[in-house]
Amino acid sequence: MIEEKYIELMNKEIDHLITSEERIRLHNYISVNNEAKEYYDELLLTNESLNHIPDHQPSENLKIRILNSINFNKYNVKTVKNKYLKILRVANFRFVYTFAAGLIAGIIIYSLFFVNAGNVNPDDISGTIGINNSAKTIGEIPLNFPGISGNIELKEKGSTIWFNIHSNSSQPADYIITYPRQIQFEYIKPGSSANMTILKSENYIKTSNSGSQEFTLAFTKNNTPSSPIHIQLTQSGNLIHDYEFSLKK
Amino acid sequence: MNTDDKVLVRECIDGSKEAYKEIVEKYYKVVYRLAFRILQNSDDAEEITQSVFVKAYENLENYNPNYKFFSWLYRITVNETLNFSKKQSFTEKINIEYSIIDEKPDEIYDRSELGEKIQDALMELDMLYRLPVVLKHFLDYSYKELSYLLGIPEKTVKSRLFTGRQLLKDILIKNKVYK
Repeated sequence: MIEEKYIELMNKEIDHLITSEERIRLHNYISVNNEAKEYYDELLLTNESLNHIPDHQPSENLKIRILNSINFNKYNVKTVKNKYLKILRVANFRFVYTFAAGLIAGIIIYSLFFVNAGNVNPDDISGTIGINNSAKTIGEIPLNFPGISGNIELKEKGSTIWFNIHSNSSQPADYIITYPRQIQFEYIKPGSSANMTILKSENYIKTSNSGSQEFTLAFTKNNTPSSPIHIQLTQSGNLIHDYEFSLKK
Repeated sequence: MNTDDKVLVRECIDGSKEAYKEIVEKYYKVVYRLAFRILQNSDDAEEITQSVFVKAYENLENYNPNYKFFSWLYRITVNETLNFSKKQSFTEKINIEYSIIDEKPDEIYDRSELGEKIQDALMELDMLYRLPVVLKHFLDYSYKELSYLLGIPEKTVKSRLFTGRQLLKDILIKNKVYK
């Protein structure tokens, strides 16, 4: 009679799964049990006998017969359906190139706009107080004096600067604008509802009005100005305030 | 899994005939040899091999890439062999008288070779036990892998394998292959 646990150990040994401790136990058992020894030898021989089964090769045309028996249409239909999915799946790297191309195109387009910014059309006066809204506001000064209210907004885009002046006064008020030679005067445009008088000479502009004044002044910077732009607010010949704007190139 | 196989399977599903031809080229011999070792008949093994590749193609979408592709093919081979064997057992019972009568003297002589005696002994073993014995011996798979191939728990694999060896041993003794 052979104990079941030792039959299991014999099989484990054949399958190379036995531990060294189990092997010692097994062989101690076999050495004192002839029946177990005989069983063990027969089991080894049985396992070894399987190596005598001759190997066999298939006939030469088996591959062709296999391929001929397959209906390849099954996935052909799907190919058309998944054409785009295939592109997505197989060629993910193409997206990288597409993205890169898009990015480059975007940069070029942006650059075109950016370059154009240096050549701002001074006649473009769209916006709240008459200038291109895409221009950057670099300063805003409130006007808050007895009988006078409003604001001066300073905008810049590329080499062009704009002053948007908007004020309301109960008495006639004048704006006297003086600017250095290094700055080129482009235009002065009154707002649609403004009723004002404009006097201009070299490096000097004077606007006069009672009630509402709304106008835009445009200049182009050529070089770093040596002196600032002054906007003086006067009433009846008296200086109310002198605003000084130092411009950087 | 083998990355090449994974790519090939993907390409097959995308409609590439060439990819499947490559799979067939790569595995038809190993599938055939496995089927032959289980059935010990070249015609049957070829029929099984053909059937395995047809079934595999039709079920490529169900293939789980977490398993090795050839293990999946082996599993189909095992299933096809079992199905084939069930059909055959009925036919064999009917033809048994004729098969004995049809044996020619030179064939009887050839079958005395050791290898063929062992083949015969193996064929006497019930398929339930023959499969784990053959798969373990020729594929050297772990019990876990055999469990996947046979679709049975590891414990059952061990039990059938050990019993199968014992039964084969008894058949070899009975047939006086050794002793």
